[in-house]
Amino acid sequence: MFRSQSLTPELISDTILPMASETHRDPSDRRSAWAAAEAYGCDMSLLESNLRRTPAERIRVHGRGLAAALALRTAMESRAVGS
Amino acid sequence: MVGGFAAVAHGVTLLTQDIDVCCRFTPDNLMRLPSALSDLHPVHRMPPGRPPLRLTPEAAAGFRNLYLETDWGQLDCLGEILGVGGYDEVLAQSVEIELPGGPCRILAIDALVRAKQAMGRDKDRETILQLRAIQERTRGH
Repeated sequence: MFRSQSLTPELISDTILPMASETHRDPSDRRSAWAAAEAYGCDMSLLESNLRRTPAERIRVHGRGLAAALALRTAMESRAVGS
Repeated sequence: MVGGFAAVAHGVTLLTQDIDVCCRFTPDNLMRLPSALSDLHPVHRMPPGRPPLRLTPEAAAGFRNLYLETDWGQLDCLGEILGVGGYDEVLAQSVEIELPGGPCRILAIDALVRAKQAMGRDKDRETILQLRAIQERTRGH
């Protein structure tokens, strides 16, 4: 059986306010970091693949991706100039 | 190596274009930079006119960071990393990786997360999330 309590300043500061702040905490704080990244929209299969590579391989794969992105940008800029 | 390329070396999947390195910003050390980069035609990329990188000991003493453009892309030389500290602190919190050109030190993942958080930039949000996921996975949590 619960006893009724009067609303004292101590009750508010020690019990009610902490409970209120608990309800405002970002739920992602309690998720695992892997789940939080996935929920954000990160492609975790890419991350898994990358983690199977050595750092040097990761940098080489990144370099290929960057070269492709820069080539696409150059092609689009050339197209814009030509049109 | 710090910043986005260090994140890539740790496993982050995002593309980054500029290379950030942390250097000891003593005049003697900085004076080695122009000859080390001479084949890549480095210029200061911030000031108007983008003057070539030519350092004197007096000028080198005044720099805290150098923002360069080279034939291979942007290179930022930083004397201090927010959230980590100066060169000695960065060195103490770095790990060695093996690259085709030889060994290279990159900022350790914990320090990299702190540095990215300290910058407080929206664009780093996904990088931080991926780094934390990598931390968790590599520690077997």
